Amino acid sequence: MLSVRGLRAGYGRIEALRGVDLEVAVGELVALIGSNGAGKTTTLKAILNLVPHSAGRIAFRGEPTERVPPHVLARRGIGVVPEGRRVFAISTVQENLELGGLARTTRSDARRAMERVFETFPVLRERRRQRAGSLSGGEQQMLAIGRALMSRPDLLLLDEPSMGLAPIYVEAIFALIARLNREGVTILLIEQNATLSLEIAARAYVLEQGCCVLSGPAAELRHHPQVVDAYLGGEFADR
Amino acid sequence: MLVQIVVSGLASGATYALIALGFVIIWNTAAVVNFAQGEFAVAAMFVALVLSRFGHVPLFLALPASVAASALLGWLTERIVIRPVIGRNAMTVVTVTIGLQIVLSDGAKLIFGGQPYPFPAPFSGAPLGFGGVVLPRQSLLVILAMALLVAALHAMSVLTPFGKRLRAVAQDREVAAMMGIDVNRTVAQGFAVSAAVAGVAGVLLAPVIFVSADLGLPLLIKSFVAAIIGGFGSYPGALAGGLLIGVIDNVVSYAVSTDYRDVISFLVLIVMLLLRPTGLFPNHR
Repeated sequence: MLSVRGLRAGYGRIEALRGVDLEVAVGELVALIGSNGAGKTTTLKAILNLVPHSAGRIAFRGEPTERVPPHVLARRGIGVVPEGRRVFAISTVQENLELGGLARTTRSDARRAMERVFETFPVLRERRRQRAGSLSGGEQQMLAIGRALMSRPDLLLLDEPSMGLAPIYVEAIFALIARLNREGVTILLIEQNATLSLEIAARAYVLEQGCCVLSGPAAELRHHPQVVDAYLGGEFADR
Repeated sequence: MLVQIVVSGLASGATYALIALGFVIIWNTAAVVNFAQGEFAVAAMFVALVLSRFGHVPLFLALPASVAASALLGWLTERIVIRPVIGRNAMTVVTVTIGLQIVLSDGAKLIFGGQPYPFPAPFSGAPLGFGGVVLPRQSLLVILAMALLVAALHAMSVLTPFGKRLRAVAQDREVAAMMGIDVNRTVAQGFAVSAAVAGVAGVLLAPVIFVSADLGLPLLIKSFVAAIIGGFGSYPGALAGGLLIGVIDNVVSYAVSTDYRDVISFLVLIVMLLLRPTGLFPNHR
């Protein structure tokens, strides 16, 4: 579904990515973990052509995506839940969802998609006439996910969905991501929370200073000494 | 008498309000302060003038054609002038729009000279009297047209996919692109709508003043002040600010002297910035 090879990108003279390789196959849930500043968000922005890359190949569904503008990638089936949620704060919940479905679906399609989002997140239905900015952080995250699902993406990119959320919401969001994947959505999950990401993902990549330093099945990475030391705080060490 | 002064103040205020509204549309969608906004209004005036006076095109065709022409000018402005510098330093973008203002206004001066041209009124006839108050038809037409246009713009913004795209881009360009919205195209269309609104203001204003090449800058300043008074970025604020400036202008011209009308606009601006720096409607968009 998505293939990234030798990706290099940066801001001005600072090179944020120094050769990132990753693959996401159809139906997979792949996690990209790493600490703050490792280059996770830059990887996402480079995939979306929101940040220019200096070297490397990116392909979506086998087609190279160089020179494909971000909005066209969205129409071709990449859905994004951006870091920090970034809901349209002064628009209502319903308008946010409509915007999510604007470019791709027909009107009746959009209504059905919204109905599905409301089934997944009943609280959004209750609050559909409220301004998105008035929702709590967890509700905004649900809205951001719902908005991305409105276009029925083939590939869903989630950037730090657990950031800044209360622990109960974090659990709920991860459970939801796992469920979406079981329902057939291919997912690339970008996260700092390695513990939960490695629980729900099939495979994972560990990013450090702009390089993929480790990769493999999530079950193996959970016990990898380097991962345990750096990200899991020894939590899994005695399991 | 006071009622008459206020109503004709509202009429000129309505044109400032419309230009300010266009100004705010561009600010909200592209984060560009467009100092050439007044020239969009002047462009429409000259197109209408040329068509009706020299081309003998009837006004009911010349007016929509001139509004379309200024929409085209707005669209071209985004494509040719703004897009290459968008995202650069704010000062660069402002300088570019000031440059465009100078080019358009001097361009008009080269073609039409510096002299004022009279413009035919779409509705002639005796002023209408309402219980002793006499109101010129054109003033009423201007106020009515503004109200209709504002209602139409609001409906467009809330109901149409284009309006929704425009508001999404205004709030977050990057996320709008992630949602599949063509941001560049939407911004160009926003410029076209904004310029069209300024164009309507221009042709509404034309019959009550003389059309001349140097009108753009004073119109810009009035509407800029209006937008700030209203709370920069706020649509209801731009309208209220425009109407307020129009009325204050007229009352001061009558009660004190026409020499002081511009001074008073700035005085209102200064007082407003001191007392309520966020404007009349800071949180309404």
